[in-house]
Amino acid sequence: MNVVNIKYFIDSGVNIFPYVNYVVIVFPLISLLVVLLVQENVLKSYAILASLTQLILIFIFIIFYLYIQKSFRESLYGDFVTLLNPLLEYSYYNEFKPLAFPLINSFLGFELKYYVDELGLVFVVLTVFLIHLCIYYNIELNVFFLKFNLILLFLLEIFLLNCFFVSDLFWFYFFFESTLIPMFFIIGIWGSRERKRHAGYQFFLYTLVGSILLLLSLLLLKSTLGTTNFEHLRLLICNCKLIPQKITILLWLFFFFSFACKIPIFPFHIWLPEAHVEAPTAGSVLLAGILLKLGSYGILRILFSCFFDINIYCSPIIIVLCLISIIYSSCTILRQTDIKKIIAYSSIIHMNFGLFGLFLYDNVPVVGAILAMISHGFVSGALFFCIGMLYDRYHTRNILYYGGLVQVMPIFSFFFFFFIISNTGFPGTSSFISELAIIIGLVKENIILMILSSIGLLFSTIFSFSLFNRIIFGSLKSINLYGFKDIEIKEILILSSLAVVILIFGLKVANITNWLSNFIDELKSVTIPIESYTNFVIY
Amino acid sequence: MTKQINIKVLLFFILTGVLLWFILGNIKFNFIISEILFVFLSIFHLLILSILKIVKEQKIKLALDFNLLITSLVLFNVSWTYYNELNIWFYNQYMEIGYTLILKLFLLIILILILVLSRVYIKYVKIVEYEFSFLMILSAVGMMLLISSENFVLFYLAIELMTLPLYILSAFKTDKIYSAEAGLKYFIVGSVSSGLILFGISFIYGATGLISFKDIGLFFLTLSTELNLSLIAGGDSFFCFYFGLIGILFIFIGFFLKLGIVPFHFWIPDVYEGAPLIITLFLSTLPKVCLIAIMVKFFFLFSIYLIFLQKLLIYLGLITIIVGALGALVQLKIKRLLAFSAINHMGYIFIMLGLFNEFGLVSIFIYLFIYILTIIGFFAILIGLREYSLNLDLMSILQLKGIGRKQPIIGLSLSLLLFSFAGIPPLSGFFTKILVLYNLLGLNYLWFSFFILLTTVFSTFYYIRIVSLLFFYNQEENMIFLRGISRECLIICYLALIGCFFFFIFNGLSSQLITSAIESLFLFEVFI
Repeated sequence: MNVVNIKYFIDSGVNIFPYVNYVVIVFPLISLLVVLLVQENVLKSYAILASLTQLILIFIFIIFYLYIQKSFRESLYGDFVTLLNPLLEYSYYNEFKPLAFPLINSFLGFELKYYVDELGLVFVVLTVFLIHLCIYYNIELNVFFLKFNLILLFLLEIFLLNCFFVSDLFWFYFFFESTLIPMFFIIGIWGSRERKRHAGYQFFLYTLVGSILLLLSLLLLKSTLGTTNFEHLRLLICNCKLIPQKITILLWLFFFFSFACKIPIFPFHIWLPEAHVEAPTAGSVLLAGILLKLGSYGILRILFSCFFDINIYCSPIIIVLCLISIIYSSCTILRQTDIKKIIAYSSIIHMNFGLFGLFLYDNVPVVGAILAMISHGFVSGALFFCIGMLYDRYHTRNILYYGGLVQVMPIFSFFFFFFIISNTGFPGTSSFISELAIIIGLVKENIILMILSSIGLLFSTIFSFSLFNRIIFGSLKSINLYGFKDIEIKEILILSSLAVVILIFGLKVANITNWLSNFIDELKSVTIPIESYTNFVIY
Repeated sequence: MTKQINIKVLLFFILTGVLLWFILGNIKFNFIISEILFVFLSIFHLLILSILKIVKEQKIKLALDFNLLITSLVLFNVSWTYYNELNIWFYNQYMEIGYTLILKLFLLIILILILVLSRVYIKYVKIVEYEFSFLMILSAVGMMLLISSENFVLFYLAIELMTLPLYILSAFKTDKIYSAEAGLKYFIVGSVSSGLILFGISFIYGATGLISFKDIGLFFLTLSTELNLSLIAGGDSFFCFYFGLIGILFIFIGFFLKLGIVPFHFWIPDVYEGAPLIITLFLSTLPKVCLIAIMVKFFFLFSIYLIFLQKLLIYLGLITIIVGALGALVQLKIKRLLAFSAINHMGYIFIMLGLFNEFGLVSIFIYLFIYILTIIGFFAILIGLREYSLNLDLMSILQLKGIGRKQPIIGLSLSLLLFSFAGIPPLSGFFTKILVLYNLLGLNYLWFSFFILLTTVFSTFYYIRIVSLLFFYNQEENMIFLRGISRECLIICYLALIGCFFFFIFNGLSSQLITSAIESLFLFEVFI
């Protein structure tokens, strides 16, 4: 192995860490089984215990991984002697085999291998954090069918973790679409109104139609190139240019359409407000926080890294579409009366603003885009939690019934204010950095574009503050609302943990940006030596 | 008192059965012993049952138990028969190779599951004639003979033996007018299709003068070389070519009628709806396996018309998928919906049959295996759930409203089976769908597979509509008698669910088994 090979091998993260399996399957499965098998009367305590243990184990895994990676880099660029060296040698000289299910190795040559890198890891942190908050929230709320709810949430966690760690496009698709089943149940069973069925159908069928094209292009790639591994695809499509130009554009369009349904971009966004509004609190948190990110994650993994030149060729279309969806949804927001719908449309704005950054190609806006996705996950999740807490008390989401809550719910008002200003991108919160980075990129690219997209941000500030104003300030509307009660310690725990995470991402941002920027350099460096692929055949 | 009699009679039958099996097994008739054993034992038991003087309900139960016993005996015997060894007997009429043995094994396992379910079914529904299970057995014997047939005479007789009991069975609920209608319709359609098949056979006989499959295959092989070399311009060989084509077309149209491929699918919803629930299960699983098995053989025989037949099957398959997906959108009756879903799935199987490569042939049987497993699980629950007030079968999907709320386990297993039908990922239905699409895209059918995927959206809609009925509504009063689910039904449903979840286990195991079976067929047919 020469130096280049080792460097590539380490930075791409293939087979680097043999313990992914535990995180991806074993830990969530154990908690799922615990929830499945315990009696109803001790369910709550056991579920909290299982979820906490799992959370701690997964974060230990992540810290361990980061430590190993750091020592790797050190061993490459200087201090060679580290404590963990023997372990590292073990982990990348031995072929990694899935431990959990030895039967699930491959299907039609699609190999199920895991792949830990910065991008996946950032999204995994988001996933684990939000899902466990939802589990805790549902246990405390004591929703009906609690057992079934928890099983579905753990199942969703398994699918999502697999989605972000898997190294093959087929398996990504597999887990991407698997998330439909638990989400469909969550919307349909625990949704609050009669319209939830309609919303469930819309959510299910829109994603299905989108993923049809993903499946088609994936199988097309398999039949022409013989592989759907992300790294191999990057090499073959971007480096070797094995696919003719016309087919590449077709593939690009297919991929883009399927992810555009999930993000969602303007013509395909109908399902999102419906599904967000009709879903229960945990459902909307997970939808806005994680499931929308699957689309942007797919764009980063496939479009961004494999179809480099076509991205540049097609970026005007995308930017125009993003712009349309930003301005369109900002105009739509201003006349909404449902609080959840307002947050849902605002998440369209933020997601599309993030997508802007991805197609600008500087390191700064791309890092900004990834950070925008993450921070949107936390902020909109927190806002949906806030609305859920209001809904639990007063059973209405109509903005006209609320007013003057600061007089009776001061703690709630404090947290709500914090999340509202982080939604507008206040300095010190995580969304500030991301928006700043994207705008810097936009200024470099095109000043008119910058002005147009800033109008969208201005709108987002306006409606955020008007929403806050109408709910929290003004006179108390005690005709509509009764039985006032501020949030309890359990709810404060949920909201404050989210606030802390938002502050950490906002203040200690230098580490994360450096880290991600290195990763993006790797993605962009398309000159990878072919010798580094040993077990790889072109059919 | 009656219980004691039962046990004595049962013991007697077991003893006679084992004795007969032993005797027959010792005369080195191992190759055909399954069918002979099957017919012999069941007729023997029928005779005894007609003499016995016990209550009619008891007789039915006794008959079912006997038939379960016989079937498991035969299953045991089939699994002991030599595997992968070529056996052709009775002057090229009967063939036993790995391919047929695997299919027979598969068939008998399904038959056992169906018999177990019908034991539950007769508790609820008054079926007074004890010949009920005997007719099923007789039909299964016909199927086994059909799979092994190597001669047009045996082939035709086996088809008749397979379908005649089915006509009776689908009209078995004598008090229901729908059932009589179903029986009559099925009889007419079935006899027309048999007539068409016979007509086709006569054409082929006219062209070749032969009835043995082996000879006919050889004949058409030489014919194709003759035509390629154009040794004789015009005249006899062209006459043979076109006569053979007409013959195979008629035979295939007969098959299309029996399987319900689209221009000939009109009878399926009516018959499925009218027949008793357990017979609907029987109709939708077993005949399909053996008819497709024999169609695969015909592809080898008539390889001279291969390109034409492939195109025919692929395009008919596409139309079938579209009709199956769109037809079920408006159906509210559960059995009609399942009928259209069966039409839809037959389309997938036909496309794979039309592609006709080894991968396709292997995946046909994997597809059938998973599909049949799923449908058995679905019916197991449907048999268990009954209407409270009138003691009726479940008719409409609206009656399923809110079952998931009351009984989450039943609702969840039903909905997982439905997701598997629809082909949503973690379940096995997805993998079988991928098998079809992978094969299609490997042969550059891009837009074709795009259309197929579009139809899956429609079919998914009507499956998830049932899921939403199960879980997203509150249960209305007095709709369903929930205590009805019995243990047998639940166990069979769980088996199906295991099949639905852990496709990989079957993928490793069954695909090896099926691949070796298909290879044995290839080996055999190459030697023609």
